[in-house]
Amino acid sequence: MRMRYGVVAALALVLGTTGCGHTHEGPVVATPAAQFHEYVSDDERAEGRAAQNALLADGSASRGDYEDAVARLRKCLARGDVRLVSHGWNPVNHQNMSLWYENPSMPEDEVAAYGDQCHAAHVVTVEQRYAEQHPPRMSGALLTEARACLSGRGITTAGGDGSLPELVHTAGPDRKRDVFECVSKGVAKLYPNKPFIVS
Amino acid sequence: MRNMTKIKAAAVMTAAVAGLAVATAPAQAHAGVVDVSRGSCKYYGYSDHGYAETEKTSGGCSGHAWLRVRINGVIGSWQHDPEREWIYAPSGMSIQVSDHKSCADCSYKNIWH
Repeated sequence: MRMRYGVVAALALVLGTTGCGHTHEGPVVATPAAQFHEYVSDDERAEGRAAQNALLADGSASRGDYEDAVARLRKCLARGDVRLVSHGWNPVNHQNMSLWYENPSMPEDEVAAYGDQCHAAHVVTVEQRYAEQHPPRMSGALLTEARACLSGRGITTAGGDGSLPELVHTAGPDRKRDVFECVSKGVAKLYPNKPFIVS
Repeated sequence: MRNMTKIKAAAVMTAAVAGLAVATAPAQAHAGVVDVSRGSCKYYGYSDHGYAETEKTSGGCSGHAWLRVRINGVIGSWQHDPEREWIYAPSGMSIQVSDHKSCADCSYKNIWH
């Protein structure tokens, strides 16, 4: 989706709509100020980085390393009264964990900022290393659902396809949306009410 | 997907320029776009209730396209791709906010629905 800047400016106009659960009409674009505020101390950042480096000292990132880092993330968030909602490993790729931040009593942008800073301190390097060392693989049940859905749409998948990128490659760039929709449908069926991201 | 996206974008563009209300699907009727470009590198974010994306459309910057969504007041984790990151809302759920940025350490802008 390639757009000229002028067109983007036009698109940035608020479209007259109703609903969305807000008093304003249409979407609103903003630059959250909270992201520029420091919620995590320098000491915690340093400790978090050191802990990540220790987990990766043997050159590899294991599931246990990742989960240990997430445990530290949870404690960091708790210090800021932010709850970590973990839905476990993402069945779409098994490369990352489905992690969400929540505090209904706090402005969302502050919760987001706290989450970002704790994540940077305690998880980001381990998470990145884990993804580098472990190619994406979809859970078997989800793969079965996705294949059946794609077959129904006239898309034949290869027996060796075991991940979202492989399904997209087999389906072809023009059918990428079909792949994402079928995987999303599979997620909804197999993991109802779980916000696993398909990306 | 590219053709469908272009059609969707074209419909929204036409409506915005003409100042007309667009009879789109409910999710698309709440669509928003944000510019998160930096320097000569162009990055744009888009979202509606069912879909969000950040895309690097031009320039030689090494920064990835970063994207995050918020659903029912709960904030997700950042996802990124060298060129284009996109997220479909889990079935039965609705994206309330999408966050967009053009590199790991860049500031971000968001679209509230």
